[in-house]
Amino acid sequence: MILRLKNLIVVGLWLLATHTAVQAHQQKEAYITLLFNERSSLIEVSHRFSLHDVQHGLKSLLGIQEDLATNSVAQGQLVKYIEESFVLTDDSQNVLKFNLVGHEVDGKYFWVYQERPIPDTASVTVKDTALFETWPSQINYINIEKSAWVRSARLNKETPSKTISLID
Amino acid sequence: MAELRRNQFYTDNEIGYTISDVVGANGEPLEYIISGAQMRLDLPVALESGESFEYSLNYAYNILEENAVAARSGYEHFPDDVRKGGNDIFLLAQWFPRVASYSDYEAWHNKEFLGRGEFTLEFGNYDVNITVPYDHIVASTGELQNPDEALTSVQRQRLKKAEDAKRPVFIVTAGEALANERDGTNKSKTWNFKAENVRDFAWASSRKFMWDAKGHHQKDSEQPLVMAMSYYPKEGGDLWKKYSTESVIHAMDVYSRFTFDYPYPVSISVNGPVGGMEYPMITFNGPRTNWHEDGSRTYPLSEKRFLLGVVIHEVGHNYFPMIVNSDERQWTWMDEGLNSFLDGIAGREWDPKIPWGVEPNDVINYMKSDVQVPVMTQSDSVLKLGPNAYTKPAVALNILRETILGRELFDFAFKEYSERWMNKRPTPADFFRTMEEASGVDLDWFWQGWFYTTDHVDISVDKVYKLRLDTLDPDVDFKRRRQENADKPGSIFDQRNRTEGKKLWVDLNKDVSDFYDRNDHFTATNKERNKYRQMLEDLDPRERAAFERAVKEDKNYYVLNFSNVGGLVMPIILDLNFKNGKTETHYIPAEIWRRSPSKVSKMIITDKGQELVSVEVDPRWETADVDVENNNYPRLIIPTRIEAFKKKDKAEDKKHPENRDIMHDSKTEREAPKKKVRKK
Repeated sequence: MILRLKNLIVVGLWLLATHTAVQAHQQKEAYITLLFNERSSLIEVSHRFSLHDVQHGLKSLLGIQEDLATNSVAQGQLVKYIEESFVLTDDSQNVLKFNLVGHEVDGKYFWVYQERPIPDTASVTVKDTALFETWPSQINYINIEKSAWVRSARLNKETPSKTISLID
Repeated sequence: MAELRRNQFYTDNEIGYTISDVVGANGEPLEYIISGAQMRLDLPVALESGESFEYSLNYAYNILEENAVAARSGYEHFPDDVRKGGNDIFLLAQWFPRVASYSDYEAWHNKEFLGRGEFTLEFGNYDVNITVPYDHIVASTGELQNPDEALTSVQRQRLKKAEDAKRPVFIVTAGEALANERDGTNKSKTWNFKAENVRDFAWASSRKFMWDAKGHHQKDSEQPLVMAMSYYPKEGGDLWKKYSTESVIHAMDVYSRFTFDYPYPVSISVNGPVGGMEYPMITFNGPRTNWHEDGSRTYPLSEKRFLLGVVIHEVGHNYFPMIVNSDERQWTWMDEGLNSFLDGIAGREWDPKIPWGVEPNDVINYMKSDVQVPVMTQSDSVLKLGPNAYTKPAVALNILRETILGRELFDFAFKEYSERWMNKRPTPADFFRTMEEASGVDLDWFWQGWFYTTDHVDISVDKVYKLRLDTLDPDVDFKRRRQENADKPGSIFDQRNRTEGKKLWVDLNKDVSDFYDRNDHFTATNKERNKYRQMLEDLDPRERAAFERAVKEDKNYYVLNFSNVGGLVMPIILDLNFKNGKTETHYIPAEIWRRSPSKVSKMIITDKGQELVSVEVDPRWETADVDVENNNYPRLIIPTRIEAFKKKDKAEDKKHPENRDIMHDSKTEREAPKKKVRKK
């Protein structure tokens, strides 16, 4: 067996398989938290995107090259895009509308905030397609947080939505 | 659209290697088979240890258009350049078939490249001739062997001057690069590079490149001079002129301090279509400037941060895994995680005001989710490399250094690991073992929690009890019990009766009373006094002294109950806040959880006047605790992120200097205010 192994040379030809390459340092991920705030009876949605990711994503997506850290028009377009990319439905397939609370740049992140009253539903289906058309490798992490637990979804282009039970 | 473009590129172009003429040293054909991205070559005779075998093969492939297929190398076309037909930047990596690794823990490494974990390679020596158009500038792994042929005498003089320059010196200036990209040529030139003991070889070529260089001096080193160099087109602009080469040097400065001296003669940063990618001595980095209609170029702040971060990170890969040759196909975190940890140090030593994304707080959204795999997962099965292989291990090491081991122990151990495994192939166990051996600290619990599980940190302080040492003297202890009883709120019935002026039977009939009306149930008796005295008499002198001292000091005994909600075992860092305004920080080592990983209690003893009023777990957010709501006793109402946002003064936020694009806005012409039309 050992002799047989020594009898070979294995050569890697991995140029052939570069089509799904992920470049070092580009992470392409967003975190969307749906917090069930029992104090206020609201669902609070916080969308966290890497500022650098959305700056580049929007350049290819909407032709925006203004500095997102400062340009309010560009920020507004991004907020609209992020709002439209996010859809939450209840267990009867009704779309749950959210109010926009605002947005901010905090450090290396771009945040968008939404809220609405906690609905009477046993589950929600969350869909978020933000930046999927820009980067096939984009992942949008969803954390649904209630006081007793966190349940998550990992949305990507192949699986852009997931139903999550809200039953404790 | 990107997917359409990629598919169309694959349809229109032949991709992959063409292999031919696989022969031995004497030209005899060799048996081989190609299976996917792997090729097996059958040797005529088995090799014994120490023997070698020489073979050659011809190969060819079409260079990929990087922007179409998102590969780690390829070309970028610039159709808008003045020159007819435009120009290109070529980044060449994975451009030749490489021999697979053979290790003592896996034998031949047969993991085919699936697009994720990059490469597992052996060290080798390279002698490469690169023939390119005459006006191209070539950046490459290795040392240029024929500068007299490849470079002009002016360029050679400039390179010499750059060796001791304070700031980068242009070898090819912006004007010269512009002239090159405008004119073109039909002639060609060959550049010869040699590199020894490297695990890969990459290069870049373009007529668009300007080129700057600055010498990096390493005192008492086998490699006393390293030329830090950058190659970039006009699209890189001032961003590259100012910061690329300086970032290269800063990275070597910091990394060498934590590991070993940079061992190669050059360290290169090339701007091209690849966002960020590393090879021995050469890195590809993507940041660019934005062109404006007035012909100027500016860049957003995020792009500046990207350049600093990506250059430091990719140069850092020279140390991990180019020299400490870990296996990225199997354990991506061993280079990306260690490198992200160090780029976080280098970044914060550049400017701590820039958010580098390696603080414990940066990983909590990922760690609290239930869609993770452990850091130790094989590269292709990791769900998302960014948080799993980069951020989480980087944050873990940051915590290990700053909170658990301390800088002195950590830095010594990390350097020991780097030096011990330089030019060798470590596995995770080698890293874990070396960090423990060299620090002298058992860290099994730490590796287990952070690298082998998907648990997160969430330590809750559930309850705090105050206890007081009984004196056992019945006169003292019963008096205390009486007072404790009196301090309790009385019966609401009794209070209301008193308020209404109800007369009590006992008050109205004082002539009828007995022993119990004169002595409550806290009254001490001689029976108890005798027992107390006998107890004192029976103590030996040392016991009695200890007992009497404790009674005299009358300290406060607090029992703190904690639960480990997240499952990841960590030290408990506590701020104890006292009534007198003082705060004490306590560090309870992680070993407190060793027999009871879910719930533990800790007794804290304070002096009589040191009365505890509140307790906070992880007050400086050092441990990546995902839920701060249960970190305080008594509990606090902590606003959610959105509640806090609503309270913010937005106007104040806009005044933040960092949020102004002064580079672009400063070009705005002064205007007189527009007159407001008012109703009359």
